[in-house]
Amino acid sequence: MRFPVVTSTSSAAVSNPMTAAISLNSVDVTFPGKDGPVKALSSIDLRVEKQEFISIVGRSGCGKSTLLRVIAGLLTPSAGEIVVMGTSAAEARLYRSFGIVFQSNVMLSWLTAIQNVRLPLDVVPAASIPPRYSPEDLLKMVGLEGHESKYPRQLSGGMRQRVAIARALSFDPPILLMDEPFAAVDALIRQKLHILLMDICARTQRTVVFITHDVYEAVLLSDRVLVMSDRPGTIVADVKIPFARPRQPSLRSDPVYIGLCSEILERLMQE
Amino acid sequence: MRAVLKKAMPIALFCAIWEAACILMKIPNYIVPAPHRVLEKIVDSWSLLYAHSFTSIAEIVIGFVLASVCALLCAIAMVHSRRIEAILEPFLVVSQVIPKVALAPLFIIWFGHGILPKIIIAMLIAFFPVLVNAIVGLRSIDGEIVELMDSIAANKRQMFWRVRLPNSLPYIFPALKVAALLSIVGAMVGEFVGSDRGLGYLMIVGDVNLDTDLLFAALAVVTAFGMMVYAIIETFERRIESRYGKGDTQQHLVTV
Repeated sequence: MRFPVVTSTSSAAVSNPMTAAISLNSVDVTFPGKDGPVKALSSIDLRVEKQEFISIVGRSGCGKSTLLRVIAGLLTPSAGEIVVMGTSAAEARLYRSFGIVFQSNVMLSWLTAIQNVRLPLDVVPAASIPPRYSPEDLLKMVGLEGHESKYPRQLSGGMRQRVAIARALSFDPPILLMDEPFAAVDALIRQKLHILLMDICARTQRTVVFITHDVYEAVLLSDRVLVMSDRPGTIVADVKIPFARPRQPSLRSDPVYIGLCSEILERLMQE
Repeated sequence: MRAVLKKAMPIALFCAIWEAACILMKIPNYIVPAPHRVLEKIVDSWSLLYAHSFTSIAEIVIGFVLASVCALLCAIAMVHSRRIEAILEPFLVVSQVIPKVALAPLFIIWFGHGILPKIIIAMLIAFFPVLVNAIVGLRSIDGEIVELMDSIAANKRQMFWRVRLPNSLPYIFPALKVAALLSIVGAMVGEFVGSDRGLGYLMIVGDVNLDTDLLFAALAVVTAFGMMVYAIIETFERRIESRYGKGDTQQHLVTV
């Protein structure tokens, strides 16, 4: 069974960027390098609808993390336009629109697990709307009940990553940006976290941009999977994932799922 | 209690060897007094030592506290603004290059025989290690932590109180230990050069009168005080260490 791999066109430019959660229009990022400027991202067109879950797959070093930073307003592109929730990325960042889970689980080592989760709430002015889940609830949801008052060094890498996920969710951001969040988590916990993440997204209607190099993970979780090429990073394929939600991990043995995965893997190999 | 014994054992052993050497080699008391004589002297002239140690302790503590506070404020200002850093840096380097011991007589001329010149010398000597380590501690923040704080729109003030300052503590405490000991050196140097009070003054008196027992007694009191201060700061450091991860703080001492 073959599935159409739709190569990315400038569809984002045609549709109204104000209605999308995230809209990128021919975004370039160039870094100054030793031997002249290095183009990290080249003419990226991307549109993520509200409540959509998209994954970006690509080999390491292809600029996935750079793309995530551009969306988060942490990095200003050299050219092109970004609209997030109807405003610029930098402004959306100031409105605290993004919950970010970084690749290395960034923890403040002098704060306990629960204090790390509460950090965004402590920084946000008190006048804002109370979040849907308390930090305690969130730690429970990621399976860290009883570890609240432990310091990061007392937690394993996988546990720290789950604290980071709880922290990203703590202030109820409309957009969740995840940079290979499960790379350091063992397979069993990763499966649990997949279910948890899908559950949270379904319950809280969140837009998610998920970066991974695990194609199987991307297909399981996403509504769309984007394939990125190396140097300079561009989006070379945009694959719709047709499965209904809620999805079960048993999807992994579905022939359609396997077909989609090998399709994307093949596309990835060509680059 | 066991820990204290463990630490006291080598010192006790050293004193035993010293005592034995003094007896066996028949070293005259005015060259090196045996430990038991030093102890006797401390007991005999306790009221004298006690009175003079107050002056020295005041100089040391005030000098150390002022040095630490000034160094911290300087570091915060320098990390906060490149311009302030550019203005202050040459002065700070010059202040380190000038041998402060050589400045001591000058301070006595300027500020008299009281405790003020000693405080200034102690402060100048203790200042630099705290400054250097505080700057490194305030600066050395993981790039992703900065991005995390940016992503939740933390302002500069929140960044300072929630990240920069706590991050710098494992760097600052080892420097405080060193600074405390250096401020003792500073106060003693000040007293050597010109004073009529203090343990350093007693050492000079002992030296001039060939009362080496008194010199050693004063030395012992200063040493005991230094060890006490060191232990107090170390207790705080341990507490920090237990939060940040063991063995982390020792590696954070940059330069002295």
